[in-house]
Amino acid sequence: MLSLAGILGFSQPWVLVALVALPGLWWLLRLLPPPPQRARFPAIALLEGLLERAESAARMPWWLLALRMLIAALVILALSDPVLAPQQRLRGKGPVVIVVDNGWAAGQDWQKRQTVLANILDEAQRSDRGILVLPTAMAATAADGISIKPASDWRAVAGAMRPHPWLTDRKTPLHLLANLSGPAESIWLTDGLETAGRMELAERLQRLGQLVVYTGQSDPMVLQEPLPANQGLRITAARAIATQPQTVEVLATAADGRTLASMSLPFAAGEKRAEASWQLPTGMVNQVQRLQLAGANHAGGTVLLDSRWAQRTVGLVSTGNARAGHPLLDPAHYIRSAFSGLAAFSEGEFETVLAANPSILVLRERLEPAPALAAKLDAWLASGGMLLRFASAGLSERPDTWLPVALRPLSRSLGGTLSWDAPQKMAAFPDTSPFAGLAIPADVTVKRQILAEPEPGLRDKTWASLADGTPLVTAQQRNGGWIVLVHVSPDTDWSTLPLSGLFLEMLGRLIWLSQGSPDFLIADQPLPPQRVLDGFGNLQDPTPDVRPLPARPTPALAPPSAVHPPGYYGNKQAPMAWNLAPALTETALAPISDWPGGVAVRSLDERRSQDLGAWLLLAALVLLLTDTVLSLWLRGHFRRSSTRAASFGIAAMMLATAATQAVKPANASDDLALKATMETHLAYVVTGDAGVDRTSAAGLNGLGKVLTARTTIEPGPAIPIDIESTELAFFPLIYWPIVPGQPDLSASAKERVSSFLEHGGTILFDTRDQDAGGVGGPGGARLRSLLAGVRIPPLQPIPGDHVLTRSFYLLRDFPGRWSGGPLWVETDAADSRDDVSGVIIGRNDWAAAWAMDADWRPLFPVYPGGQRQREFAYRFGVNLAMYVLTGNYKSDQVHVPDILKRLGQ
Amino acid sequence: MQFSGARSRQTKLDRASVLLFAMASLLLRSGERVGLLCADRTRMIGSGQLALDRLCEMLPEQLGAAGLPIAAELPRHATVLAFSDTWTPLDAWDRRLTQLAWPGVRGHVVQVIDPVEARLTMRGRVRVEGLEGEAPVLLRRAESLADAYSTRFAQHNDRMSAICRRLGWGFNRHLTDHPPLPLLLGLHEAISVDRRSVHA
Repeated sequence: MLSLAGILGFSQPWVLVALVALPGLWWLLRLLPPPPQRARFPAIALLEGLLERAESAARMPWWLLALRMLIAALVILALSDPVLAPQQRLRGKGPVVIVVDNGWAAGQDWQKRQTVLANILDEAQRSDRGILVLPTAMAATAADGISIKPASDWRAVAGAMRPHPWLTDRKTPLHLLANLSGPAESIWLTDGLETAGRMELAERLQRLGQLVVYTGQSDPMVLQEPLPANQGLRITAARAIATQPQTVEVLATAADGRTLASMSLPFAAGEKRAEASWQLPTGMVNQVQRLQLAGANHAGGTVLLDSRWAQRTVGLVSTGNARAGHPLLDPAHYIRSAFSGLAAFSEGEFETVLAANPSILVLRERLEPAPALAAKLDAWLASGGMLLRFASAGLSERPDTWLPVALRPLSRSLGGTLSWDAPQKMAAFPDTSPFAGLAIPADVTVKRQILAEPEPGLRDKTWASLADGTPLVTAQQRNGGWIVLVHVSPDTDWSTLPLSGLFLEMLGRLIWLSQGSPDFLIADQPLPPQRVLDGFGNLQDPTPDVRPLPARPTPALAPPSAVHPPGYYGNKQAPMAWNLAPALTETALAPISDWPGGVAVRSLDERRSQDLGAWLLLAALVLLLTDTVLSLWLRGHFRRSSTRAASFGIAAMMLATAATQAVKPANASDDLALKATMETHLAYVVTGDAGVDRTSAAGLNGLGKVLTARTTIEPGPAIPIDIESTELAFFPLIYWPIVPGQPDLSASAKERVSSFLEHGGTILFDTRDQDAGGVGGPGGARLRSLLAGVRIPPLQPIPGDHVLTRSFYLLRDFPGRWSGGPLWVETDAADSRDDVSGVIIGRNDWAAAWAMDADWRPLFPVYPGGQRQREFAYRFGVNLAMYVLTGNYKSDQVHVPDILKRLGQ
Repeated sequence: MQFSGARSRQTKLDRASVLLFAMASLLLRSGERVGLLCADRTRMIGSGQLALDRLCEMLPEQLGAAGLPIAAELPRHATVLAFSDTWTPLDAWDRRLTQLAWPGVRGHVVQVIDPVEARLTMRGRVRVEGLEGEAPVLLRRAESLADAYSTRFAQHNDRMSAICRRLGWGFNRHLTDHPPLPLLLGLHEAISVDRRSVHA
């Protein structure tokens, strides 16, 4: 592989030689002009003689040439298999063994591990080497499918590989390697923590060939299970490397993901453990579902809590005979100091304490409650309370009913002055006891106890006993609550138990058992998994591999593994939190200190190397498409679409103009409306041709004078109309002369004209081209294109009996400046418009005939001429004005002959 | 004439045939006799509905012949209707129309062209091929010729128009994307005026 400064490398560098050929390609491309477009054209004769002026564009434009060279260069580069950020890790021959530590500690920088793993697979694939990936934390069944395969087969497996929330096991990979005989190259992505078999595995890999170890720089920090503390929790965190002071944030999270509280926990320099008490309100402690180290996204940073950690309240019923001033002689002192570190503790009269509804009610004396109180006590027991009783001298003599066992009337003294027996030691706790597993200190002795009446169930009720088998702690479940009797007094008179740490631990276990009474501590059934942690410390649904925990599990019995991952087990209502933390002892956190000689150690921090070949080919393809489009454009294939685009542009511009006109101040249009509606006005469309517009104005004003003189119509001065903007509705008749240069109408103007015609307006279109002769002169053509898109009703040449021929004068033809041109009217004018034709089209240039100066002298000659023609032009104007203002009124004359005939009869 | 500038449009020949039939039908209805000026001779067809049928039979074999019709000696007071794109050299037109228009014969030339002929809309490098065996022409940048072409086109039409005017004939242009009705109405009107003056 050829590599350029470690940034870009080429797997097939010899292909680059082809770049030398690019100048030749340049020359070749310059030589060949693009082929011309072919077109058939009948008027080819007209083209001859024009050709000398054509400019040469036969040469390919330089930018197109450059584009094609770029495409060629990109293809060559792509074929030489370039790699961005290449790294050469593999040097030897034979298969590559990749050991991946995917235990709990790998979660922290798992992304980097994946990147390195993918890079190695890429490289191995490029050099066609077999791969063996060995995860050190895996399910027992996963080992079966592991064999040497090509890198492409491993890619999916490697991509799906996840860290697991248990400890790495480096012995299994050692077994899997037993059959492999060198030479092979090995790479180990380690989590940096020591476990058994690590050194053996390293040496085994070294015997196969070169071993390279990639190690992360993170220093895993873990959270231990907290202990219940007074008003909160006692938090412990541990770390693998104790060099400098460090502060971590501990978050308490509720079941729904809310962060309830956070606390910072400082590690002192050189200390591997940090502890702190976390004061939390009782209600909040009970809501905490998990504790988490902020920023630690591995399973070791998460501790799940269950009902054992819920805050308990303990009530001590105090009798009045405390000996004030001598706390050590007060029998309640040991209870008080033991519980005050474990739970919220209160003390008072029996009634007061019971009313506070404690988890544990501690009683030193015999109990003789009033019936009402007894009922309350029963109800409290039924709600899951635990009544913890200690022995007293009077209890055995007059036992009450709130005892787990029947008592013998006398207490037993051991090791006293009058006794042969030595003080008794404690026996190991039975397995069924909640105290099971607690270590018994040798110095705990019992001098005096009260005895239980032997009975068949006594053994089951006994949670602790003395070496001779007599019970020390008995318990009975009643109404869902517990009654527990300690057969010694809570002070030092009867035993040394209250002085020992065991007393504290036993009370701690009782606290776990109280209130909510976790079934999992006592039940005999296995605990099915509910939710389990993944390698990043998130709760997931359990996979089928997960097996139920055995009844009353201990970390030694069921260490966290593929079958028992950390998580929640048991019933759904009060599951047991099964944590990784107890397994993370100091030895599990020990960092790897040394590797065998000859092992190269590298950092995980590296960039994902990227194959560029596909991207370069894609770029070349895109450029090739661009080239095709450009070539077609050069050959003129987009003529039509480009004109379409231009017309879109024009339409957009017109819309924009319309929009800007719409925001003009309303005054101008109001003035016009006022002026136009105070009296009747004739109007003409401004064409932009100044001469034509002057003629239109003079013509309409002249017609106005004639109308005023001869009829009752007395129009005001003619009003010019901008067809794009002026409101048309005020005008009964609009004169519209057509000039060749008139711009096309915008869509909105067309719509307005259509609407004007449909709602009773009349427009006289005058194409003014009768002089041009022939059929359909230039004005007619312009009119057709101008009105394309306006809703014009069907037209006909004016029939001889049309109302227009007799609305005032009787007319046969309609001359203007010219005579003889046809006049077109609507075929069937709608009833809604009183049969008035909205569109009247002619070509006689009437305005010029009507135009007169102030002295009533005509401005233009008429053709063929004569005063008679001008008079008839005026008569047409009068008829037209009458027609548009009175409608079909005169059409009644059709029946006049009939009426006269009848009258005559 | 066998040309259309867009798929959606008729060819010029089709449009010219439509116009010819329509005019023949109108004229026959008003009692005129019609004939067909062919390349070799004049075929008189006659009058009445049968004449239209005979025209239908006769016309297809005469269509598609390039060049101008024969300079036949026409009856007095005949009216000639010529539908053409007028791309035959103007000198030939001048000669032929002058030969046809001996005293008493009037006429109308209708130039039937496709809109793409009225304005040069080609762009880029174009190899232009004629329809009647003309030598192909290579345009290197067709868009640069548009203005010159328009001028050329206008000149051609002016000259054609002048030829017709000199003979007292009418000259009309018809584009194949326009509806034929206005032209037909105008032609009919114009011919009626002519005939009226003849019959008067």
